Amino acid sequence: MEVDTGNSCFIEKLPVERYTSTRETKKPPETNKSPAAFVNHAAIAWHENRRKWVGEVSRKSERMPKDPVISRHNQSQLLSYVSLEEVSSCAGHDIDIAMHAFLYLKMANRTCSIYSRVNKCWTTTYEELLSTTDPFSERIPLTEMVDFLVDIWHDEGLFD
Amino acid sequence: MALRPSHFFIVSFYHRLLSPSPATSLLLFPSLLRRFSSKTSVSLTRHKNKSSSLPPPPPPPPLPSSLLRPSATLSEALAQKIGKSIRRPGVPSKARVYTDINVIRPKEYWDYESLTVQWGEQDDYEVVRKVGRGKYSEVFEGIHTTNNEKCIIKILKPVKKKKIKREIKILQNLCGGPNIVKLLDIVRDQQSKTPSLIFEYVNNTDFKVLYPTLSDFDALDYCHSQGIMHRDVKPHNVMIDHEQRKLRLIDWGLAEFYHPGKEYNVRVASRYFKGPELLVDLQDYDYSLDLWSLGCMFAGMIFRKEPFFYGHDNYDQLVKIGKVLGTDELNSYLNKYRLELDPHLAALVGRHSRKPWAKFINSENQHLAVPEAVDFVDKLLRYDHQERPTAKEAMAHPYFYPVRNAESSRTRTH
Repeated sequence: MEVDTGNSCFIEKLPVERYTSTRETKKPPETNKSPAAFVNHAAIAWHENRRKWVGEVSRKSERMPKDPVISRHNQSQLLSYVSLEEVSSCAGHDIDIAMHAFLYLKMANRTCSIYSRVNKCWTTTYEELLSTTDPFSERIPLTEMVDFLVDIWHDEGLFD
Repeated sequence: MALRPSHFFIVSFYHRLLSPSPATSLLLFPSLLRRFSSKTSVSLTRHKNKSSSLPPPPPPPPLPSSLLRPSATLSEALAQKIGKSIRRPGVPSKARVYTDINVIRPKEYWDYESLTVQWGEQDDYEVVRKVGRGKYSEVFEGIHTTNNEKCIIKILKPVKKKKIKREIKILQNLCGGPNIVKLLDIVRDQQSKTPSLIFEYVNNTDFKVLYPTLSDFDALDYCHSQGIMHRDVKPHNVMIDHEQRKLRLIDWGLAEFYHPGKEYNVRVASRYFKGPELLVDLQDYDYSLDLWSLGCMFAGMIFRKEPFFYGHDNYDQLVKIGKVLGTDELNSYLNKYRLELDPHLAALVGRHSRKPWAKFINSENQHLAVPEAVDFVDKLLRYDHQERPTAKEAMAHPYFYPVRNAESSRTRTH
């Protein structure tokens, strides 16, 4: 699939020369052009269906906060969890990478994409999490998945 | 809705195409290649944009250029010089049917830019597994946590707001149409403003590989009748729910409202399914583009040749079409609409005579490439978009007469 960079305003680009057909010239345009004659039943149905799907009452307030699955941790949480050994074992015992990672974790006041439960590992790459279509070991809140992807997309320069 | 008579052979193809070769996977996902090359550093440096206090991340090692790009061939060298085709005025093109839908309907119907989106509650959803990945999105099977119902969640990559609005508006306008995927909710991440579209759950574990059936034409006729071109018809975007035996035309991300005389972007559809109009820069194309794409799917199916037109780039795509449909025919098409190819592209296309359809029939596909099917392909795969049948006309083709089809094949075997 390729990029649709958006169409330029079609009014500007309408050909000067108007296409005419017998059908068009025969038909008095006014009778059909009245906007009042058109009711967008599809859009009405869509709003109705959405209301049904979402449910009448927002139950947002009833939800209990859950522990993150793909976590974002603040610094204090991190320091209480992370040891150099742990990072090192995840980094394939490469001490340079481990040191680098450890410094990152210590310096970041917020870090993310540390996927503790599924892979029992502190480093979650896109591949580790999303290379298969197998179900995750537990459901991941959409907000967390979005965070995870947004970080990757930042990395790929998609926000530039 | 009756499926097309030859429904049974969907299954046999189905499996063959499920396992792409490793080479294909890399071609399809060049970012995988890149990510593997810098795997150790990726996960640890991901948060670099989140905080300014971080040390600079180590740059990923550059890939050898030979991995990214095969050595330049003659055609590539030529392709680099190719400019747009020239279109001289005087022969505008217009859709043969549903021409004035958006002329007649009020502005609110088609003016997607003025849509104000009311965002739902992102926290109401959880993801269960990944089901697909597109250029513009990541797709998951999800669940609505308050009612425990399954859904499909399409998380959109950063694109222009306009494009997001267009997709939403089109899905709203097509709501309730036959075999058109249902949009249930729209949510957005507060922090990053990333939108996610929530769709009805369609139980298709493969998320790809299906072939045109009567239902496809029905869905297309419906969207065309509502003044909308899909512009990305391909097997990947046709899903079937085997359990519920229903078919869905999905991914309306490139769909557009048709306005007669409007010049559209030709960078739509996936390469193998791009109509000649896109490849020769004819911008006032219309709904008939979708019929070409279906024709490509159909030809791939009946001749067991996937993809049927296997171009290596957009220029080569035209070359591959020219080798089948003939270049004299291409030139008539270009002349009709006063188009002139860039000389480099004309050189690439060369001269080829039209290849009779019979030459594609072999012992492997002769049970599929029955005369009605070949005739149907012949009608769909026409250079001149105005010559192609409309979706409605296509549905009336003898190929879709199950009884007649069954009888004629019986006659042949006895």
